[in-house]
Amino acid sequence: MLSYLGRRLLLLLPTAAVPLLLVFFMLRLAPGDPASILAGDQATPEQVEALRHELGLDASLWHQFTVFCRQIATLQLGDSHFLAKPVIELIPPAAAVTLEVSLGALLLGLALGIGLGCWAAFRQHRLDGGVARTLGILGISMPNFVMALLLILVFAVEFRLFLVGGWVPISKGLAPHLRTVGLPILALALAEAGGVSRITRGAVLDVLREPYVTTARSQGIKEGRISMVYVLRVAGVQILTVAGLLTAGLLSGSAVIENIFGLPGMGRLLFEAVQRRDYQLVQGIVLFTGLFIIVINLVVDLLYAVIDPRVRLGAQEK
Amino acid sequence: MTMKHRAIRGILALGCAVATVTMGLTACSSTNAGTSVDSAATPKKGGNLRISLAGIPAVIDPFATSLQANWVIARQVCEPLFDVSTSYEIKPVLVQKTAYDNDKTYTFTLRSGVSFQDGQPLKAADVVASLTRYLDTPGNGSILKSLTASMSSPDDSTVVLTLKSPSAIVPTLLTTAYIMPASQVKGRPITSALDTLVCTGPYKLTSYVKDQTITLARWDGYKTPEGESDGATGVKNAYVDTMTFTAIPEASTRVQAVQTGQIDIGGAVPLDMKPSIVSPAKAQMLSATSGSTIVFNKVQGPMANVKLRQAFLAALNMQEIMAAGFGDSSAFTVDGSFIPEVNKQWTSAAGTDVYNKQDLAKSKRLMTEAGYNGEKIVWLTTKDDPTWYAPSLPAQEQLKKAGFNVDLQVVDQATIIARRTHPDQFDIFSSGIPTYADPVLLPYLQSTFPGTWKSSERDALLAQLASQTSQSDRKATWDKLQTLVWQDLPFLKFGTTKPLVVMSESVHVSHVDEFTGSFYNVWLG
Repeated sequence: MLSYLGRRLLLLLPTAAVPLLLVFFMLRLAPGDPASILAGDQATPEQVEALRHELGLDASLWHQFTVFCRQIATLQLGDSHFLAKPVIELIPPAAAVTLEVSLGALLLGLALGIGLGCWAAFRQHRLDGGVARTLGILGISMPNFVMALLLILVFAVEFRLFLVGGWVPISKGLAPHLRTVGLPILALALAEAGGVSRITRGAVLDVLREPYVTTARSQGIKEGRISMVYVLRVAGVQILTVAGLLTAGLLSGSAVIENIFGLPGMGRLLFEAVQRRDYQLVQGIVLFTGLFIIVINLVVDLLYAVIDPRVRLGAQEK
Repeated sequence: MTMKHRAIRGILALGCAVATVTMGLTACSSTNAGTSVDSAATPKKGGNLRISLAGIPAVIDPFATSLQANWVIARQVCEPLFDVSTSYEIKPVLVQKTAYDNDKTYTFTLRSGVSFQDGQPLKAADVVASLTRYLDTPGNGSILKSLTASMSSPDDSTVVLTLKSPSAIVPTLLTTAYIMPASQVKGRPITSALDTLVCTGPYKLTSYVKDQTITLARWDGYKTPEGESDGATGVKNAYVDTMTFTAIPEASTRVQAVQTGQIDIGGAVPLDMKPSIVSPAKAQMLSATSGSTIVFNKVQGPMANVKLRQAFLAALNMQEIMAAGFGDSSAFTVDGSFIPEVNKQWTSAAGTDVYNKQDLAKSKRLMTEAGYNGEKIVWLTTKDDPTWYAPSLPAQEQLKKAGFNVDLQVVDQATIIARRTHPDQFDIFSSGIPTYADPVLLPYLQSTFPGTWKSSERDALLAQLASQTSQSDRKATWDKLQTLVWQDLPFLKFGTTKPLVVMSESVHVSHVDEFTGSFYNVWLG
């Protein structure tokens, strides 16, 4: 197991390098640079050029690339051109906001999705099972930004239970904090719950048709035990895979949600950094996000062995 | 309102929103909001004014960026020697007396008793240090630099500015030169942005979290200029105790935040949101100040031919373009003056006899004379600014009918700013102009502006405009220059739009146009 973990960790480096290289060259191939944005649209070409020189943007691409590699190797990601702070200091507070919203949404989305999926599968020929299936389809069909606007309209504008937008840190009290994060979490969770419920329903129905389930029933094992031990545990492998993918998807999905709700998370930081062509900051965020997704995938792979004994047995046979 | 009523309204709202989303209708929008500010309400002091903007400036040092959207904090905290009223008149702010010898020397006497927010008195040396840094900035600063021979401070309250040649526009050029202590700005390059602002304005910066929140508090040591309160001139009342700026990028979220009482002012929102703004929020339409324009490539490509540019203009019906682009006819004006009507000193109809005179036969004749054979014309535009984008689609349709082959490329604003400096990458680019206090400030008139307009006649008129000292002479010169623009067509204007600001009904101000960026005369009640 340890050698497996070691190999996976070594593979992290080339896997993380690919998006970093791509983003380095794509940013520099895209029209516009930080100097022209910083100088503004009234600046003369000479003034922009002077600023470009000061920021080191007039150096050759090769020189910029070597500086970039040095920064990555030393984990000194440079300073943001606009926020005048080291990138390494800008990412953690923004990441904390994004992770809080994403993880909250993941847990809530999984709970709702698995619940709905099981309901739709175990009661598939009944009316309430059909309702659960329909809710799942609705969740998949509705983009999260539409869900966000609907939730704002109902829970913030009409019922005034949550704040429409903005951010109150937890240091200013749990209740006001929850009023700002509640709707973003709910918007992401409801959109993801639809997908989870569809996967769960399909996985559970597949397992329910397995001969060993029929055998268990014929042996008189209680339906509740069959569902929990014989069915859900096996179906859990598929659900776990989806959960890993969802975590990555939530990071990108939260960019839209953060813009709608005005949350100071990584999605909004990245969005604004791209608009400003803030090279260092974009690179830093891509590195962080890439590493995060790789680690999540690694954790999911390791959890397979916990849920499915066949994975462990397979490793031992080798 | 009872919980039951709220529940019913909530269900109705949900159903309504679903219908809107799924059917693409806007049937749920409410009636139009009121468009007048209650100027009769009695002003009162106190309260925290909560303002949400699309973004909190990443740079608050006004000398480190020429993007005026980033100057919102400097406008509350800092003051220049002169500033602009809501009708674009230039009036003294930090200056008590100005003596101009109608030749090359300006002598400014500073107001006495003015201090910076750190308690240090304002001295002439601070002004010289600030102006020296200002000369390195783009726009007004660089124009002033080209005029300035020297600056000195013979005593603590006197600043002497010596010019290379006579010019009446110096006070206008100083309206964006915010004065800061010499200890902070002397020798500091503009690329080294200040992270805090210490100035002489009515509010002081108390906290600044980049990209998140900014808090200002009334500064009790403020010494206001005299005269009627009007925009950034005259008395600054500093009614509210504190101001809090937060960022909510999405305009619809800002509108709903005002409606729920979470914020007081939601800043500028797209014009098409006006019908959805309902009590307790109100929509305030300001005077028409934002010109929607395009700039032609005069260096190479088909649009370098002046006859084709004239054919282009003859193909356009500006009334239809503005109506299709902006919808509400009360939200725009169709006028050919490059300085809109709100600036009464400089608005002009000179040369506009060719503006908004669609004539397809004339357009085709000019196209033939220009030798145009349907070559592709690359037009760069962006959705980042609706006033840039909105006219482009209806104009493209009209141009297509006239026989133009327009390739409309929608990119982000940063891409336009980059590509417009390369003449081989565009034929036309969308742009926009605010209302300038003086036509000399119009960047399109400079030969260095992208699109490159080379004209000896323009050079002569611009030099005259910069050096003449009589207002009537300068107005006559501007009329000639605007006429030249409508003949030579280095750029053209579709029309002028009115910014729409969303705010709570509890927000009041005497002059509605102050909502363009200053909040010290706003009161809550």
